[in-house]
Amino acid sequence: MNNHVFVANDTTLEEKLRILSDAAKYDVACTSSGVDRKGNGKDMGSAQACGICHTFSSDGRCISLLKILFTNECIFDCKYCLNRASNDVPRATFTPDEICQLTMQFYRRNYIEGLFLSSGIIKSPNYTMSLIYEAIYKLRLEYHFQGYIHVKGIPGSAPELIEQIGYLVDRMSVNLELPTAEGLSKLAPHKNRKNILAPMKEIQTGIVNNRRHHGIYDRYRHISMTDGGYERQKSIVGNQTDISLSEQYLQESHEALQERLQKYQTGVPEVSGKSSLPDITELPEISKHSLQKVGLNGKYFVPAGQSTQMIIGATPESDYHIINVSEALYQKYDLKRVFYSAYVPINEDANLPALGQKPPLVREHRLYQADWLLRFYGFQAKELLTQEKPYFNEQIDPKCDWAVRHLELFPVEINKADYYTLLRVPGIGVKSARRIIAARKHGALDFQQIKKMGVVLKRALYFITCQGRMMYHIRMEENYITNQLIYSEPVVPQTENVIYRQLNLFDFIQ
Amino acid sequence: MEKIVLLCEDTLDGMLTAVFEGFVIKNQKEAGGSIDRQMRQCIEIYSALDYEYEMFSTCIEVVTDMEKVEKTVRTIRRRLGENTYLDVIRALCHFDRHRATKVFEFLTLAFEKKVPVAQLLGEPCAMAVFELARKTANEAHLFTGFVRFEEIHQIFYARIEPKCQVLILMAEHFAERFGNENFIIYDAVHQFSLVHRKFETPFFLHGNQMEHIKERLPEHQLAKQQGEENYEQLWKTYFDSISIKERENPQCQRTLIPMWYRKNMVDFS
Repeated sequence: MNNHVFVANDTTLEEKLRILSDAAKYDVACTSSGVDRKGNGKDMGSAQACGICHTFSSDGRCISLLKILFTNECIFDCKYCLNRASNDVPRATFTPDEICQLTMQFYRRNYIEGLFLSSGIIKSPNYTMSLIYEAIYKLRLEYHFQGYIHVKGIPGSAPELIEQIGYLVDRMSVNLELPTAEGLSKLAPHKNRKNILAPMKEIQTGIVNNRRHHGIYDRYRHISMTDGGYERQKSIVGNQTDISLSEQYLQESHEALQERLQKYQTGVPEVSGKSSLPDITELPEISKHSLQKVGLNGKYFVPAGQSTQMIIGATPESDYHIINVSEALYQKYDLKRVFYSAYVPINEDANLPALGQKPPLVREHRLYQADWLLRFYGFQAKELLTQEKPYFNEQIDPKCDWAVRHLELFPVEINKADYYTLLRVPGIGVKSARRIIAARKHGALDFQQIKKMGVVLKRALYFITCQGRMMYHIRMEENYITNQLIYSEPVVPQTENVIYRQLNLFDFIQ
Repeated sequence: MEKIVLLCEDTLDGMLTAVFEGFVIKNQKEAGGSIDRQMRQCIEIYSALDYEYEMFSTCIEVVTDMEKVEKTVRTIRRRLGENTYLDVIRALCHFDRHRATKVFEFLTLAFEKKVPVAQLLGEPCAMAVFELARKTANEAHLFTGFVRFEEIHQIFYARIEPKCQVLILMAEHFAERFGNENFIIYDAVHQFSLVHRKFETPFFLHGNQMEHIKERLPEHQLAKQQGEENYEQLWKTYFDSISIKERENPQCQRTLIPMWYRKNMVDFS
């Protein structure tokens, strides 16, 4: 064994890894969840639907995948990107073998759940995609890797390539980057809306057809891959028959809510204006009847679903805009996740925020909270934000904000309310609501018991009653409760954007 | 207060035998039974190592018997369901001294009421067991991610220092994932190892032979084969470069991965 050759390789591989993981870190998709795959007895690897975090980086993010670029050479010149063609950064490229070796060796040592592979664009999107395909093919079929793989779709690549790769990976995503076409054309002139939406549509069609091929019609279930095929997993609310996430139940719950609100808002007409969000209407409805691409027998197409990412803070779109785009994506494209990445200024440009400006972390946090509300709590985007109020409150989270604005619906009786009403209470989450509903069949619950079940009483006590009594005597008044919520849990203790409002006499009267 | 105390071994099997014995005592209906009826209501179970003798309590030693363990397991699984059984096992893997007593009280309640266990969460003893189970399950889930193997001549060796006995809960996950590898996970706190040979079922080993395994192997076997990449160094490089400096938040990191988990991890060494 000639040591010199290996020493040179050592530094090169480490350098490559450093450059290409440094370049990939702004892609915040990090989950390894969505697929349950048992080990097959002879190859290495398995996947867990809940996802496993292997460590946490110093910026607090979970690291569960080997997140790298295939190469950071790029022919595009997107203004916000570190690797854009006009930046002078050291460039490197992995060989497919190096990627496979790294993934397998890290996986064996339990450092990672799997691989996350993105790439800068060499020669053309199709060429890059085929390089990625080669690497993934090697990993799955020569190295027999059965762990989790997440691949980024390159905007503008051909449908055939997407289909081929889709059968090898667990998740595929295409970054939306910016919520409007104008923003995109200003900051990333080489990408256009059509090139991004077309691959997303391809993936979506493929997933729907493949699921239908395997007999799954309900999109809320996790996919479990066993030898026999998709196994029906419990939906996120378990087997309890009085809670079902069926569309009809949710619809009824919304109608009931609207009725109660209407009672209190007599004389206020429904605010209807022309939709000033042209970008959403341009997303085409997926034809659920196109059966052109039928899944290969026994194979699964992108079983963990599709996701995407948007950059927050690089362009002046409001939260209202962003959350509406997310909602449309979830409903029309059936995405699993939308990720929000706070913009970190790297490049100097007239169209971008100045260097040295701090990334909008609180705003990103609020968007994630709103995203959760849309997906798990049965909220609709129009309930959270409106044209008049297009930004989230930095002081309190969106759920508390909504609750405080609709105090006429509270307090809610814990022992009698239904699932979706319980979910609307700040401090009660999905797990707590399920436990409450199950436990109250046996006997009435009181505050101590629900606290042990996971209800955050610090927030919830303003909004609930147990057996008819509230925990303390609370004045159901918007400003009072808002202040209590802010001062009990300061998110932004000293912020430049303190919202001043005029004091009035009632603030001082108990 | 007059009570009966059952003393058992500090293992899962010991405690399940004691639960069995506890039910035997509780269900004694003969008038000529040797134990007073009032005392039968108050039964506690402790591990023999932990217990300090009190006045006014009758102590009974329990000998671990696999047949009794199997009977208990079968009954719980059949009458209360698989999920409850798993929760009981998780609660027993915790480090709380009173865990066996809590489990016993919970089982008494569960067998008595004919309702699914999810409905019993309002009762304090069910909630106690549920809390123990939850803490253990969370720790086990975190450890599945934090275990770090190093290659020692075709064996992958890992060392962990958990608070609860999480190896029992993690064994299946690792056996499935690394079915084609030899690996050993050594639990330094409980002196307990999980050993897995290629394509075989894993088994547990009591004792601390694995603690000093690295010193035992001859030098030439230990050398990280010259010419091979140093994957630990590569991982550390990756770990450092993946973090976005402008978003650095050590407090958040500490909440997500407390300091005591980091002891045997390459990333933080």
